Amino acid sequence: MIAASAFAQSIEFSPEERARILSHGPWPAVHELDSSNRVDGNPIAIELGRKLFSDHRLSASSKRSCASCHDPKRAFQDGLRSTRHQRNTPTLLDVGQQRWFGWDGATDSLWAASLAPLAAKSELAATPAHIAALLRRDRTLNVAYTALFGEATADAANETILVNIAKTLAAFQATLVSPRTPFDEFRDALAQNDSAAIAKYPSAAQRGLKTFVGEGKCFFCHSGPAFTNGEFADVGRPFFTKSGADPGRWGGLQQLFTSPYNRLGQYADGGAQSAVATKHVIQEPRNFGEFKVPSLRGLLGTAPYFHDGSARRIEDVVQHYSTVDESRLHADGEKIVRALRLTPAQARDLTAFLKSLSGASSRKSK
Amino acid sequence: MMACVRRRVWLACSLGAFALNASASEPCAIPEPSLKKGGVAVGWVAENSPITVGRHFAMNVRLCPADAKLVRVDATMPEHRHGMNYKASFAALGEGRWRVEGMMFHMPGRWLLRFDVSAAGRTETLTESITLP
Repeated sequence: MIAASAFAQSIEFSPEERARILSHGPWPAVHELDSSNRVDGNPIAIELGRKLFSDHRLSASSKRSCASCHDPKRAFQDGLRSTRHQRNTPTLLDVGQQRWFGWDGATDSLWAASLAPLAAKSELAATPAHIAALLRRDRTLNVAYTALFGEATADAANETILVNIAKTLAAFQATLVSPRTPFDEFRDALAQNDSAAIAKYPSAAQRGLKTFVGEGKCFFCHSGPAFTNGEFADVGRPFFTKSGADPGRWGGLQQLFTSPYNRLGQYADGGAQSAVATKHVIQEPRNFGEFKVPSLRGLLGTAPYFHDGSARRIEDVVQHYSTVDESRLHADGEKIVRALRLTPAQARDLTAFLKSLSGASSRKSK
Repeated sequence: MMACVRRRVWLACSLGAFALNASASEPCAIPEPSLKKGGVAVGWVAENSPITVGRHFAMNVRLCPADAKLVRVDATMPEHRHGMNYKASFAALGEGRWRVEGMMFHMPGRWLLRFDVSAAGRTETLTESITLP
């Protein structure tokens, strides 16, 4: 057993728990360029995408932009319980590290995920012709576009221009990385056996972390430096909405398979090597009602929680996992999600740990 | 798990050496450790070791006898009673060598890796238990 702190209240972690803690770092993780987007990482594309992200002219009404829902001042989300889609607007922080996009994973690249709200009638409602016309008439945008993709000539396909614009939006979003957190400092101190630095991490957070990587089994799905395995799960939240059942991952896969914008389609760069997940993913009945396992980084700035935004506070999330209705879940093997039946003190500790996954700016405002 | 990782690294080196030295006239042999059953042997190594939770990986597989055919590769978590979210694909590279793509273990814990191999008119199922921390 390894003493986590020589100064604060001593929390001991087993070698297995220590290994799990270390697996949640280091942070920031190395950004792997998206080979399906040939301009990912290109400074011109990033800058063009940054400008377009807040440009209302992208929308048919000239009243909305990507930033309308993904507000940079709100950790690139909107803080609303649910949108007209009856799903919570996810943060875009660390979005460049994801494999699937949206709560149902209906898209397999950040550029395809950016296309969906551009075209959606309930969002920007932009047609390819609208986007292409904007690009052709705005000299500044046109110069940057030409440097990246070649001239948007009059006979260039509007659809191709739309996809290329989405790729610049993706290049910008891939640069949005959540800041380091108190947990990251603790994790690195643990890796270096730095007792003084370890002691700076509050005992309550350490106890909550022990639950997270131990009895709580939270790390089963919330794994790795981003605290997500990037896959989908049914954690016992309701999926019935005013307009019927939300099929979650099941519906997302149906959209993915039929989309001309997936990684197996003509608009993806990089060939088959960039499409391993898309080529091999399978659809199963259990996917119905599954939603993406979200990252836990920056939680303090990304309320409300769950796919439907039905939990207002982190405390509410912890309460859900403490009392989840196990009969609602359909696992026929060892239960991955089960009622943790936390004492009030344990719930406070787990909450303290989850709050420690946010950077200083989020913590100051809470 | 660490034992698994060390085994894989060792096997990677061994398979590499075998690939360089093997010829059609040499007897089919796979350096230990390998999976064996009913006259069939399977050696495998993951590319980009170690295998990491939530990350796709490919495998280089060697079969003996060399004319054996890989007919299925899969993995499940027996205790959880679920499999992968992906269906692996594979392709023959010749001389008993195969490449498997699309594998992904999305949770820590015990996975049962399964190879179905057809040889001499029979199909054998060979399994190996792998535990991810």
